[in-house]
Amino acid sequence: MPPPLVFSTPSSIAKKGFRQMTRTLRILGLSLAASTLFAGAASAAETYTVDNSHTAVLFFAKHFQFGQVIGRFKAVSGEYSLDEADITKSKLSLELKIDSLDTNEGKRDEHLKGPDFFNAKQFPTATFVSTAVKKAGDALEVTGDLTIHGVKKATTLKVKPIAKGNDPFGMTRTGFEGELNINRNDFGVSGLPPIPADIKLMFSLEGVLKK
Amino acid sequence: MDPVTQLKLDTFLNLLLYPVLALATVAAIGLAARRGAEGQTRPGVTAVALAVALTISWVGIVAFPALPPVDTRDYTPFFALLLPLPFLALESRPRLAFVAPLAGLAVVLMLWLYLKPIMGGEYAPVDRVAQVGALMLLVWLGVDRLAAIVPGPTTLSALCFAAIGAAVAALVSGTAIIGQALGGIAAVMGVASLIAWRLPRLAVGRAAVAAALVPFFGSLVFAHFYGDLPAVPAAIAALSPLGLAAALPLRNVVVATIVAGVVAFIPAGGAAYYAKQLSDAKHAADAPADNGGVPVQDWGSLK
Repeated sequence: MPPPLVFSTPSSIAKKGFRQMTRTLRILGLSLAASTLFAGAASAAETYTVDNSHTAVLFFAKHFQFGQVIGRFKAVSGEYSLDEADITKSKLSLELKIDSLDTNEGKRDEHLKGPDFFNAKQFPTATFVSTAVKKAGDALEVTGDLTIHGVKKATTLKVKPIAKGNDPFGMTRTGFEGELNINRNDFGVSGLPPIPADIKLMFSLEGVLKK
Repeated sequence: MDPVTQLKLDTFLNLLLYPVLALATVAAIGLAARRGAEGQTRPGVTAVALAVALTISWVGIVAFPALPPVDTRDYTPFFALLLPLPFLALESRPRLAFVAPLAGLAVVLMLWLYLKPIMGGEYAPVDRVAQVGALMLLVWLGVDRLAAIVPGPTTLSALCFAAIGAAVAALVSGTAIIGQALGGIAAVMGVASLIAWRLPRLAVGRAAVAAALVPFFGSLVFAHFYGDLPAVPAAIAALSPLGLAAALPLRNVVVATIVAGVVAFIPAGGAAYYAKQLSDAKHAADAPADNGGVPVQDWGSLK
């Protein structure tokens, strides 16, 4: 097999010049790639889709003075963008399907979905759309519009980042958790006054990086 | 105050005190009318008094409405207060042709604003809404015609007992607030019936019928389309005020008032019983499955 053309050239000057040109091109190429990569990292936020199967939104309501009714919204969807370089550019939007609430008692679930409370036929979803994000120590303060029962209120969620990394299947995930206390009367969910107005919400949120 | 005591107090306030306060308004206006118009009937006064009383009762029991309304049930106090007013102009018009277009317009307006968010969808198909509208108009015109013939207390008695049955039907179907609101309507009608009996000059005319029927129909529409009150019990409850017809041949006011109340209550009470059967049947099958076979106590029991 004949040697490559470049090595069979008798002139060493020509050989040297060719090697220099190749090295210059390599360096230039690497520089371009690196600058593109760093520029991307500085400006683009990563967007995650909420993974409903690893996300929970729970609510806690006192049952008179005896205990608590704990319910869960089983259908949670949404996405968030996470900008680690400038966290204030991060965004979050969530949607809960009211019809998916479950308190482990069918009759109570129907009552909660009905006109006395959520009126799910007229207001099938509750949503949160962020308007500002800032750091608060180890946590994030996510301010946004919480809409329940058709009533929109500015609300601030304290969100604690849990972890970021790859799962065994190669998907990049992030996880967050937090709590929120609301007064249901503020949202017009005013059925049956003896049931306390103060409701605690807890959430554990997991998102998968969009490709 | 512990929540159990608060619940009992709220029930007392909702089903007794608010309607009684509202009826004090009725009585005060009635007395004023008596002084101002000796020898004359003043149907408009009854209508305004009922509209005010029912609005106060609704707001006290359900909630102060948002303006503009967000939850469509918040239209009810506005309807109760405003929709009877145009009928004041028709008090002296005996022919049905005058009232039918106005009542039809009121029915269309109510159904449109109540059901706009779900109109045409799974929960409120247009043909069912049209059927409900036709039923409302039929009952409205029937009660309007009958009220022109029978004494005032008799009309109010029939409406009172119809509202009692409708209240229980809504309650057992899982719509407690609407059930309580209908209970408030029943309380207003019941005491108004007694007042009208003591003050015969307070005639129950066209606008008073409108004042009573607007929140009555509104509550049933809401309990059916947004709550779980099934169609058949809702329709029977809506038709029950026509029990007033049983009083037509009776001359004695007291007898007519009692008979009209009983005859209106029979279908309304039947509607409540039927609604309870349907509700129990609906939940009996799926409750054990929901809980993996573990029996659950009826959550509605407060004991």
